[in-house]
Amino acid sequence: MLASLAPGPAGYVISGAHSADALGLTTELAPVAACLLGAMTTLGYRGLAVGLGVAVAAVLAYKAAAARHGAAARPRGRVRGLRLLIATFIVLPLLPDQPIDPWGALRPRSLWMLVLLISSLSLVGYVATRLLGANRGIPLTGPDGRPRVLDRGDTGPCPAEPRPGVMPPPRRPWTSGILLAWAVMFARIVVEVAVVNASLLGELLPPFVAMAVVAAAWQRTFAATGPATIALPACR
Amino acid sequence: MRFAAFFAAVLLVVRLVQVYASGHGVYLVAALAGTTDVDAITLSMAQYARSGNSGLLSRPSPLRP
Repeated sequence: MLASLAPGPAGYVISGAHSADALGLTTELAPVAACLLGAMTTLGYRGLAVGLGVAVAAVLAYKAAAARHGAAARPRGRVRGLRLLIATFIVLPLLPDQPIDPWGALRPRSLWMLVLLISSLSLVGYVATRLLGANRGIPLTGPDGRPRVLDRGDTGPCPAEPRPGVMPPPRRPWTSGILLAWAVMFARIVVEVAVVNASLLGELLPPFVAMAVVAAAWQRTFAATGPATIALPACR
Repeated sequence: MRFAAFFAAVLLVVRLVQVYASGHGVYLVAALAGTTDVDAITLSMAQYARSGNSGLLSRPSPLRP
């Protein structure tokens, strides 16, 4: 109980040390909410407490992002992660597990779980590209050459033209990037099938491994002759 | 959210084809779905295979010689 209470005053003091303006109603209510949520878990409402905790974290994150970048701020990685948490701990438990159509095809909860699977894979790709330094120009070649195209989508709009001063990229590294993305795509599909129905893997693995190996090997031939790095136009 | 809607549509279409159309219909749906998003049709097929709809593909693939 004491441990759950400690971060509240600490955060309050830290915020106040930075600026007196930083102290507001949100700052005061956040530790109270954290304390109440902690109490809920001890009283046996763990599922509800987790859902509400995610909701509180989401409100705080959106508020912080809006305060920093304006109301039209783009969702950053943290907010993307929170969206996934909302979809998992708030939306999923609310969805019915019974079919909602006469043919028994649509079970909202199982459908949503698979959507979460895809979202998680996309988030992993997003985080990987961020960690690799997407905005600093990704090395498209070399041993760690994992390109931005690994993340299939949702990386935000890119400028139509490369920034001034950035050399127009040669074609071969782009070919290499596409092939590498597809090598990873085969692995992604294998992961999806493994999660949903692992019994199919025995039949799927031989062609998928073969296709991934061919794509990866072909990628290496292009990568070996291309330049060491190319700068990509910054996205986000 | 867009993927969820598309995935639901694919699940429904595969099921409808399974119920009302011949075995080849599923291959047609798979081919058409593959032109847009492979995730949805992959998950649909894997899920239906798990739920024991073995009659889904009672006919051989048209790709088989």
